Amino acid sequence: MDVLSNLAYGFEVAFSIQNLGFAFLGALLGTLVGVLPGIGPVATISMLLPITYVLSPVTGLIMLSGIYYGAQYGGSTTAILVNLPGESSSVVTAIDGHQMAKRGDAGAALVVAALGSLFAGVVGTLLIAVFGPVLAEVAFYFGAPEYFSLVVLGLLGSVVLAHGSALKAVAMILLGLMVGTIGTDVNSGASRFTFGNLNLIDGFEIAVVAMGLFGISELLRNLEEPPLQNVVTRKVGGLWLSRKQFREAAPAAIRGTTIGSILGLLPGGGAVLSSFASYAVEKRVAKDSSIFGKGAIQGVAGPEAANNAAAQTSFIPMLTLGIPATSTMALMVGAMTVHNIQPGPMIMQNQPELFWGLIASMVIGNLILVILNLPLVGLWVRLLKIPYRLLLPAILLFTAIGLFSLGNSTFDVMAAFGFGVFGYVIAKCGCEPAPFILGFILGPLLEENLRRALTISQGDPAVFFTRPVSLGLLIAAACLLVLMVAPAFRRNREEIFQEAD
Amino acid sequence: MFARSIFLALCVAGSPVLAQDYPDRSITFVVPYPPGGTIDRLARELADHLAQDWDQAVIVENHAGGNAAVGVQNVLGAEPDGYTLLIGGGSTHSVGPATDENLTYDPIADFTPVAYLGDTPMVLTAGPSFDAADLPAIVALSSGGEDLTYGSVGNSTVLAGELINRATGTKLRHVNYKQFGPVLIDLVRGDVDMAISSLSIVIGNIRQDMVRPIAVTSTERSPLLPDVPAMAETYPGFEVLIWFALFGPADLPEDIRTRLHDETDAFLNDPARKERWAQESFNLRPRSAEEFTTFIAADVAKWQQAAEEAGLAAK
Repeated sequence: MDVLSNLAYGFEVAFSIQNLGFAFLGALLGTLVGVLPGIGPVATISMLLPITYVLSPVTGLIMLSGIYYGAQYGGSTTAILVNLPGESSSVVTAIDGHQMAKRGDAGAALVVAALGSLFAGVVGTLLIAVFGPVLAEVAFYFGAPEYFSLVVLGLLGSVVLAHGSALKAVAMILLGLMVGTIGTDVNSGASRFTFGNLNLIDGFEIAVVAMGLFGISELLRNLEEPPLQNVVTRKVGGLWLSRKQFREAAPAAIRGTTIGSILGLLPGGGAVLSSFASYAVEKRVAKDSSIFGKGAIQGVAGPEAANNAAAQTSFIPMLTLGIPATSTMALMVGAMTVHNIQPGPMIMQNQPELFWGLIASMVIGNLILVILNLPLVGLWVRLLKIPYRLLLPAILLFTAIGLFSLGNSTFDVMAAFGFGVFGYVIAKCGCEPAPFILGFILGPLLEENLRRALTISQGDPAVFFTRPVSLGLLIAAACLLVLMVAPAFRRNREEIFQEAD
Repeated sequence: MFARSIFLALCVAGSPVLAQDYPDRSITFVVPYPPGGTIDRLARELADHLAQDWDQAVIVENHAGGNAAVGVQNVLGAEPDGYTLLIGGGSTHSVGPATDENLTYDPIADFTPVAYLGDTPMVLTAGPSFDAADLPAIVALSSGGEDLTYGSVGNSTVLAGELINRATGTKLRHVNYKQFGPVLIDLVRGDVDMAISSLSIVIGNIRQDMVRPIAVTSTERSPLLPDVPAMAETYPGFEVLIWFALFGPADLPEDIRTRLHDETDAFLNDPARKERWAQESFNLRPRSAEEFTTFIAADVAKWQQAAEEAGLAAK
């Protein structure tokens, strides 16, 4: 088969000593920036971009993409261990991953994150190889009206994210939407709720909100009643998955991979949605949805697979159409332009070495990541045995460094601590941070696409109902709404609620 | 070259302490844009060049946000000693100030222009399903009452769109985006008819025939697109450039400014580097200190007027 011989050629390219070395270097750097909260792949790649000028194009891209998907791996480590999601993609991982860690299952959570990511990474890569150009067309089905409808569906689905009262979840989503409006209005350029503060002109960074709401508020709660972590972790026997855990996690990882592969194709926000979408689906298909939020392994496996699959498939529109789906992909386009290579439909013919070499290197890179990370699991878990009076200041310090490195701004550090206090207060009120942050992330997407769709249609809302994809998504949203208010469903919810108590 | 060395020598003689010692510690470049963009990459390349030549660390700090206003705050009022410098451009000094009503600085009085770095034109592009073949056809369509839209990212492209409307009498309607990827999708779908962007961001998509270039906004045609007319050919004097430059705080000593300027010039004049950036449609353009100072004053005045005429000016 053509694809097979091409892949074989790709592996030939990727297995050269130099390319292998740089794939390893990229994966290692990616893991490191992923583990350090704050410093993201975008900043790292842009700093290393000049180095790639002197490398051959394929070697340079192999290293840069290694950093990109390596960071997706590393990000989940801090989310699971200390409830500190450094990237938006690991926010969801923190919900159940950290609960697993608290229960003494940190090893299993880390392993399932790594294996789920490996599976998704390899599948995503094969999708690029076999169906890349065909899948790229999916992007063209998503204009502003379709995006708007997708976000509406996502927001409705997100009520499922909460494991307590639905009313409180809705309140949190709305609050998140409101905080998301802070900053410059995209259409008029006017400043909203910035109170003349320059730091607020672009709104809050997602990482600032996530690290504050999850990580710092967790630290505050722990100050109140220090965790008995020494007792808990001593209990940890295996750093591997039990057969039962594997059986629960595998289907979740497969579903997550499917969701992530599709959403990763959408430019401008698809990848961010993927882990939330996967979590919502897992909770819906689970026999007993009450375990979510208390350390459900499916809640780690699904979203982790989803965000890694999305990270891989977001290469598709960039490589085969020349359209960057994320800012990291825009950097990759830059790296190719420097070498006078034009990503686009002709890249397979004109640059077979680069295209197939890069794809093969992704398979290798994902394997390297697992080999790199699995032995570290033991080390990470042992980290939790450090007495809390030493661990807490250390976490706080690294959080502050990470926050500062986001934009070299002390404002970000203080804002995150503000969100930490806020997170502590809402936890006391029995509310959860996940719906809030979902509203915060989706709100600007919702507004941007609503207004753009209406600008294009000159204010005619029919545009949302006349375009088939948009209509389909809205119908799905309506069905979800009916399900939620239907009495049978409500009773079901209440049962869950009682169990929770 | 000889004349320059004499000039340098004179400067050194003029204030021996400063120029001989400078730089004796690390220099910071404040880049008021997020990492990874064209100008960020150029800033890092320049930083590496200076660091190697002077054997001092040159640190690039990204302070993005507030349409570049956040980064400017980090240089505004800094000690004018040559250790804190700004990589600015139209967004910090001309287009931005013309439209920003919360501006806290004077783009001319608060800075010392050190060295012009380069520029890229904007380009008007059309999607594959858009009928009009060229600018006259677009003008005809628009004056016939057809509703035409263009998608773009950021303030300066909106102002450029207004300038095109004013020059040609069209009524192109603006559709706002936060990233360029979705603009491309909507162009290909036909949701928007045209796009306005820097040439460097879209050159690849032009080469692969995804979008069709209509006109560039520099006075001359771009060497990368010799068949695409410049706006100025039909509308004389029309010029919109996205430019970047190195600035210091106000009252930067003359000898330090000269050292920085000359070293930057040497950087810009490297033929291989020039060629590489030209491939991305970014023209490295050395200008003398006097030329640069005149350029800024003219550019500030030009955009102020444009913003006022377009009704977008800061009150």
